[in-house]
Amino acid sequence: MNRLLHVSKEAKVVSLIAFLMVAVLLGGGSLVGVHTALAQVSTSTNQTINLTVNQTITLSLSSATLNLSSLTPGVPVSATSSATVSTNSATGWVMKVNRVSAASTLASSSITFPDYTAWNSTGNGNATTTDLIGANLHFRVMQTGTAAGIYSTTYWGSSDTDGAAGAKYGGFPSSSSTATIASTSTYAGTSQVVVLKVRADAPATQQATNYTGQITLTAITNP
Amino acid sequence: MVLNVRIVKKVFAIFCIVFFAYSSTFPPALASEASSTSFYARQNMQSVGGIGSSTSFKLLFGEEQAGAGLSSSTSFKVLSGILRSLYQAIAPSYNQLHYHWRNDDGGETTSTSATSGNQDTELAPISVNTIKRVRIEIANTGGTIKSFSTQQFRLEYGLLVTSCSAIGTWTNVQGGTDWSMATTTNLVNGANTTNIATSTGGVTDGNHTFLTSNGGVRTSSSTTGSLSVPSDTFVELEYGVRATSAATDNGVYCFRVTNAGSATNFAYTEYPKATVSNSSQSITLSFTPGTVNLPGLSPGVAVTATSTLTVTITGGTAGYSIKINRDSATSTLASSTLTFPDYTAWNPGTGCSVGQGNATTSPGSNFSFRIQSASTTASYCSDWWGANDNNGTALYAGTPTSSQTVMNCTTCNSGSTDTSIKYRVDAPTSQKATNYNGQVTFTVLANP
Repeated sequence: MNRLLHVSKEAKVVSLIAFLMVAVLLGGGSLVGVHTALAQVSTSTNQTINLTVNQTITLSLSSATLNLSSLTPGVPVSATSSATVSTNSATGWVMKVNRVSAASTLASSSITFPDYTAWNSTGNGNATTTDLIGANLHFRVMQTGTAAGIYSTTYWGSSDTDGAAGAKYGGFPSSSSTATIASTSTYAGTSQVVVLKVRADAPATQQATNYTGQITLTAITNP
Repeated sequence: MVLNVRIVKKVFAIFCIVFFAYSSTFPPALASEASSTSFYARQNMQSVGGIGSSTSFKLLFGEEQAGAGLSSSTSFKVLSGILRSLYQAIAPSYNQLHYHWRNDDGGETTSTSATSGNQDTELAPISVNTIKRVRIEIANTGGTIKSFSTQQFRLEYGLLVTSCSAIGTWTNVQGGTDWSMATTTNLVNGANTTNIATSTGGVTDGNHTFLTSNGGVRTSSSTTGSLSVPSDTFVELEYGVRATSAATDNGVYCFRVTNAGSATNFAYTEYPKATVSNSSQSITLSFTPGTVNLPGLSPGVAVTATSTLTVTITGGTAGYSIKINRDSATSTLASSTLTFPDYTAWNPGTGCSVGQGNATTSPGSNFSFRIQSASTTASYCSDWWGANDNNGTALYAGTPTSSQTVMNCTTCNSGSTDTSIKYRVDAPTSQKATNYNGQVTFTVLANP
C-alpha cells in the first residue's frame, strides 16, 4: 500500500523586538563650561553627547513552507529549514517554538497526526533519541549549519546522526513558555543561523491523506 | 538846649531801631502792586493779590501756598509755600543726579544692567566698539522763574585726570574721537524713555514728576530735542555709546549732559565713568543644552538633537569663527572599546562659497552633524549646510579629528550670536545595542 503523506509546514515568522533602555542617561539642559577670556582671542569647551541604541531583532526562514516527502509508515522522513536571527542585542537572544494548533501539529481536517511528547527545555530538556521516539512528528536543532555557540548538545544530542547515541528529538509544544530551542547570551555582530530538522514517522493505521499544520518560531532578545 | 538835642537824637535813634526791629518781625501786608526795581515784594501769610509788572522782580507766594504735589519719596522733597521761597532757587538747576550703565541686550525696558543692578557704579573695563548704554537722570531741583527755558540735553565725555569735575575739555559724543554714539537695533533714536526700575538699569527718582514725553533715547544723535523740565520734574536720558579705537587704553572717561554744550544752570552730583581697554577682546562660549542626549535609536530610524552655541564677543575687529573637532581619534561616540561609525569628516574647503565643503544630504547609518539655519542668528552658510533645514536639502558632515571651521562671522564684533548645531545619528542593524557617548570640542576664535 502506497501511502502518500504530504506534510507541509508553514513557518510563521514572528519577530519580537524588545526595546530596552539599558542605562539611564544623564540629564540635559544645563549649561556647560563657560570660558571667559579677557584679553584673549579664543576659547574652547567640550560638549558631551549621549546615545542609546535600542535592541532590534529580525527572524527569517529559508522557506516559509516545509514540505516533507511522502511518508510510508515505518520509514521516517525528514526535512530541514534554516532560521536566521539578526539582532544587535548586547545580551544575546533566545529562540522558541510552538505549534499553532492545540490538538496536534499536523492534521487533515479532523484527523490528527500524532506528536511526540512536547519539548520542554527545563533543565537538560526532554528530547529523546530515534530508537525510542516512535511513530510521530518531532523535531530537533541540527548541529550542522547552526551557528557556533548556539547548538546545545545537552538538548539535541552529541551528533546529528539518528540512533541510540546520537540525535535527540522533541515534540512541538503547544505553548512557547518552556520551549526554548536555541539561545545565546552574547553579542554576535552578525546574523546567526539555526537549522531546524523536522522528522516524521507514522503508525501503520494512520490514514493516508495530506496533513498540514503550522508552527511558530519566535526570537526574543535577552533583557 | 544842647542836652535836649542830644536827648532827642538818642530817642530818635532808639525809635528807629525799635521800628526797624518791629517792622522786620511783624511786617505788614504788602500792597497789591509794586513798581520798584530794587526789591522783591513778599507776603508772609496771604497770597499776593496783584500782578508784578516789573521785569526785575517776581512775586513770591506766602507760606499758605498749596504745594505742587505730594511726595512720599525719601530721595527728594517737594517744596512749597515759604519753604520753597527760602530753600529753592528761582532759577532752574539741572542736576545730573544718577546714572546707570546698561547692556545693549534688549529694548529700553528689557535690557539689563551692566553693573549688576547698581546705579552710580563705574562700568568695568570695556573693549572698543562694545556698545553700552548709559542712562542719566537730570532733575530740575531749582525753579522755573528765572532763566527758565527749554533744554537740549547733549552727552559729552572727557578724559579723567584728577576728577570728573576738574575736566576742562568736554567733547560732544556725537562726532567724538574717543567715543561715539552707537546705533543699535534694540533702540530707536528719539523714542521716549520710561521710568524703569533700578534693577534693570533705571535710576532712583530724583524729583517728583517724571517727564514722560522726552525723546530721551539717543543712539545716532547725542542731543535731545528741546525739552522743558520744570521744577519738581526729572527726565531720564539713555544714550547708546561705544569707545573707538582712538580711545586711551585704560583711560577713564567721565560723561556729562549739557544744554547743547552749555553747562549754565547745570549741577553734577554724579558723573558716569567708564574705563576703556582698547587692546583686549573677550569671547565666551556656552551651550544650551550643555549635554546632548540623543533619543533612543532603533537602527534604521534616524534620530536627531540640537544644541545652541552662544558666543559673546567684545572688542572684535573682524568677527569670529567656530571650529569643531571630536575628542577621540577613533570615533565621536563609543561604548568602551566599541565604536559608533562617523560620517566622513567635515572639510570646509576654502571657505563658505558654492562648491565648498563635503557635507551630504544622505549621511547614512552613522553619526553626523550640521549647522541649522533655524535659530542661527548670524552668518549661516547655505553653501556648506544647505539652502534650508529640510530633509533632502540639509547637508550633514562627520566630526573631524582636527579642528575645522563650521561658522564664520566677520561682522560679529560685539554682543551675542547663536549658532544651532544639529546632531543626526542612525546605525546599521548590527550596531550593538548599548549606550554610547563621547565629546566634541568647539573652539571660538576671534578673527585677526
